[in-house]
Amino acid sequence: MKFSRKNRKGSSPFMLTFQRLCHNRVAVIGMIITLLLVLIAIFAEYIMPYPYDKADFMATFAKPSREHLFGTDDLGRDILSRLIYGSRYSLQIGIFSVSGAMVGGIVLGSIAGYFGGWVDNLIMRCLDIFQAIPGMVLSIAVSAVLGPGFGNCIIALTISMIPSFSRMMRASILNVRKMEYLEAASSINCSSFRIIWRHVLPNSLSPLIVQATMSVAAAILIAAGLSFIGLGVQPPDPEWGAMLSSGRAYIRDYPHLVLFPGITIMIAVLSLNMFGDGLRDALDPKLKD
Amino acid sequence: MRKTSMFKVLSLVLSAAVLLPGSVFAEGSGVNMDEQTVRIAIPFDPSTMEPWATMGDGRIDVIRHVYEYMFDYEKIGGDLLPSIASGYEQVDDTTYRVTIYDNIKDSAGNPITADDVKFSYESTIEIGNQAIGVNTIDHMDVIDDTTIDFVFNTTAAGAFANAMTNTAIVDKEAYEADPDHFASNPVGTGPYVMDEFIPGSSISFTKRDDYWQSEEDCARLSEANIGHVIYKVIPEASQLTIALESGDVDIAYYIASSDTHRFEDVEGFHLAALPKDLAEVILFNCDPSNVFASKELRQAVCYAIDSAAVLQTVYDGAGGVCKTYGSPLFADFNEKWNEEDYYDYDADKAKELLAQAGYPDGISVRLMTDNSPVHTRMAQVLQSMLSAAGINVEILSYDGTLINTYRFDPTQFDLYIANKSSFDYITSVWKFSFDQVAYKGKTLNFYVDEDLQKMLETALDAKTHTEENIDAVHYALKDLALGYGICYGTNYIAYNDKVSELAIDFKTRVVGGACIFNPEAFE
Amino acid sequence: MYRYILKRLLLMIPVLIGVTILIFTIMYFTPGDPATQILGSNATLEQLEAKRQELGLNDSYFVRLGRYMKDVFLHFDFGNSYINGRSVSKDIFSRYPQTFIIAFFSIAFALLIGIPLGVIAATNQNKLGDHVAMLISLIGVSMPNFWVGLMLVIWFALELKWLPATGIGAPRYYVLPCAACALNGIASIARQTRSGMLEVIRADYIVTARSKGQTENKVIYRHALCNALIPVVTSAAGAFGSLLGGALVIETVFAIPGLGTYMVSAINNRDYPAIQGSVFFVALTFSIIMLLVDLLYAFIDPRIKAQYQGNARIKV
Repeated sequence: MKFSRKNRKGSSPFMLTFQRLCHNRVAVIGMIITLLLVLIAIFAEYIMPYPYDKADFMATFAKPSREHLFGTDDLGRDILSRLIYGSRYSLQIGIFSVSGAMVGGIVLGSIAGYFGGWVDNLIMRCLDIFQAIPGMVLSIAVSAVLGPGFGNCIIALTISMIPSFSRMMRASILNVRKMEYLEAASSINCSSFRIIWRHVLPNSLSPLIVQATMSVAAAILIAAGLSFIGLGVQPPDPEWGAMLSSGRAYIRDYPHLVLFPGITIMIAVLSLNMFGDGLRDALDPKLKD
Repeated sequence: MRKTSMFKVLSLVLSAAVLLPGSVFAEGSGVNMDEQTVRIAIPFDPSTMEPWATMGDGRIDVIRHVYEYMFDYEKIGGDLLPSIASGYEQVDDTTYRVTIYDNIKDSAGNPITADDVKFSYESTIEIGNQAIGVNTIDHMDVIDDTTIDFVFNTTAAGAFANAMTNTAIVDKEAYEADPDHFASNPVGTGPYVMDEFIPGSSISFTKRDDYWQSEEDCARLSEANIGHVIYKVIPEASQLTIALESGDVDIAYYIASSDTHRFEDVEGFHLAALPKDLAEVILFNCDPSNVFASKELRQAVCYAIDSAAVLQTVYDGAGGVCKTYGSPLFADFNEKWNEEDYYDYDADKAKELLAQAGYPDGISVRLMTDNSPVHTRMAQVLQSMLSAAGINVEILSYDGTLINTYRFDPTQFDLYIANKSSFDYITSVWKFSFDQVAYKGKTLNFYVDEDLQKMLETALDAKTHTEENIDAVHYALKDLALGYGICYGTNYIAYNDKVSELAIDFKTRVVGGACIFNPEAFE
Repeated sequence: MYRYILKRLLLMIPVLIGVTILIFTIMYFTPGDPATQILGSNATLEQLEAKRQELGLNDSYFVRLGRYMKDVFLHFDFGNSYINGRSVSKDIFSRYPQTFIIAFFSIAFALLIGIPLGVIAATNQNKLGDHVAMLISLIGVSMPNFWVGLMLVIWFALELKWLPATGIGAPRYYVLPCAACALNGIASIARQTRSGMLEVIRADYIVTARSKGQTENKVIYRHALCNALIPVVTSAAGAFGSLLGGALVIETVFAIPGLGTYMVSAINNRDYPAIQGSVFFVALTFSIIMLLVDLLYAFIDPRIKAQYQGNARIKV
């Protein structure tokens, strides 16, 4: 992404999008918070005030105070530290599962959309089967096979998200296929792979990016739900949903055990959604103007 | 719907007042207890009323209302109290002659005879879901309508008592005639009949007006002191508490220890604390390929665990610290063990043994646990305790089924958390973990030791079930440290003023209908 | 039209067969032995082996799959639960209504609030009303519904004691679960309505209607909203699907004996017949809802209806 200062008005589509994005205050806020969360996740070890797994059986259920801003949990662990460290789990689950689903979706969708015919039919009917099961239910079933845990949770989410990405990719390919430049490309003997890679993909990218941003948000929510019913990340790993689940037994006397993880999930998902919304508007300006 | 239930109540009142001498009119107050309802909250779904299905938690809670056993245990490993059976005598080492009452009738009016008893046991054995209690029966001989001989294939201590206290007795023809096998329309000899069962939600019982047993011979748990009993399924501990506080239910079990202060010394509520027979233990993977094949390493872990602190964190200190591999509630538990050292917490010794075992710089092990809240917390407590001693713990958390599958696979874990109990003796608790016959020549945790097996078999046999022999096994197990008993918790049962005395069976479950009630509180 | 419906119904069969095979296969590869769960932790190896034999768990994949498919599609029999021996379909029918009620009322609730919110946002585009409405819906979509459920319990059941915290029974038992569940739906429907409205408002026929001098309200509700509703309907149907899934989690919060709690405990017990049966029912409901939505589409938008009829005619 090279752009010089002189070229400020921005002729590249990336710059244009970026400029539009910057005009949208909500999207900017979303972007900043998202970036902040990513930084927190990367530097978690240096930021967190206490080791996230340090139990102190003398200081269980401490209410929020100066030493423990968000209080401590049932084993006396600092909730703020756990939330900070837990951002790694939640963000990684979101990002990796969506990346996985995107790759899978692009491959399947491209094959289906580009080749058409029985290949398309076969792939789409298989996706129909997956889509006849609501995402949450499919994730529950898949995590039952794989067993609970961090890595398996990612795989379960990936599998449940592949169908929607595939469909999207296929639809864009069908759209782009009609375009003239493809005819031109194939007339000069470009290979199918090359056509998809060089011409089709870049042109269908923008809806995929928007979908991906939103899906990261959705994946974080579903992962939290899975952990909450005991099928996702397991304690003592401080995934946010798992923290909610283990704090649940104490909501009456110590609501801070569920309050803070919940708010954290909300902020993370909200910022991703705000960013994704802005991105969509920026990429598809006809709605905003 | 409402009309019929009104009618039912009315007819019940009439029949109770006119026909039954046993109807409970409280003196002074005008309350007819046969019209009243007690509501009890339980955390698990009874799931089915089939008499011989798997003994899940919710089922144990409710089925004593509808079905009766030959005898009831007075307490774990205690005396046998007559229920269906009126008495027994031991004929020889393995044969027991049991007499049953001659007037037993189930709720459909079918008489119960020795043939039905035989059928009930044979079906239980054949279905195989409750194998633990009945697999010691070799065969049965019906002598006459009220007499039956049980012949056992073992002389193990507790075999007879175990067999007598777990199998529901039903009428053969009625059972065979129901395609559903009583799963949703049970017919039993108990003092109540089931009205409605909404799986996952509630189950309700109504008092029989034709219960077969006379008032003076009635088993304590077969008393019917109230007209209606409703069990509500509330899985979440905090909500169980709320239900009792808000008056939705009158009795609630398994109150979390963190919630007991809401009922202890609180006007209108009462709290019963019953120590659990279920001990929290860890079992080491003693397979020769595993690091815990080293006795020193096992002992190092035992010394590194501060059982009292575990008890404090996991059960808020309510309960006790184990002094053997099992809880002390069993009759054959030797009081003197309480005075002796049982790997009492000693960090220095742990480090010393760790070095002796060849790991002076520490070691990493995999601790397997199920994902129940208690064990999840316990795993985390153990993790931090062991790490202080230089043992780094990775927690593998699985659901119950996976644990039950993986525990037979020596490659899956290094040690795991379990809870262990038995219906009768501490020796049986040991048997369920360390009997090398049951698990193809090894203990449950892959250890092979002929001497231990011989000692265990001697202690298990009713003829040699002596203090000396039991002691021998205890000390052998303690020295080997194949497994380590950590602590046992407390069951809290809270109830309101409507109940004046709980009826509790040997498994520490409340039998709702047999409780004694306080009629004034129903006014 | 009927031909179309029939065709769609027939198309559901291969999908459902696929779902059955898929879920059977998933369960086949799931580690964990149901026999250990049935017999408890004190069972010996021999007893476990006998139980596995009895349940047919030692047979090969294809034998078991064949047996299961035959039972389901030829005898409409989903088998009996391993754990309690009860008929799975009976158990599902007794639990299904609770899940359906929650999903249905949540979606109704979501439409009732979401559509007006979306209209307000669209008609006040880029003004305060728009920002507020969209912020509300953004926040709504970002909260985990089970967490909202917990918060509602703390506030309305524990603090104010207005509503029961758990269980089923009178309608008031369903208020909190439905409210918690509806939140995500409200948000997605409001957003969909807004963008649908914005697109339609620019269309020629709206300009025409305005220029004819019709009142603004009439323009919005008569002309614009009707056309904007089409994407909303798809969105609502999609939301219904995820609500069926979301209701599963909500059920564990409110201890509701629905399909979700049933499925989770079945998974924990490796109760294969119960898991397979409940996923099948969810998929069936979902497919039917999708079909109904497609038909509703045709009903709302005459252009699509014409297309179906056109298709049908060509096929004849």
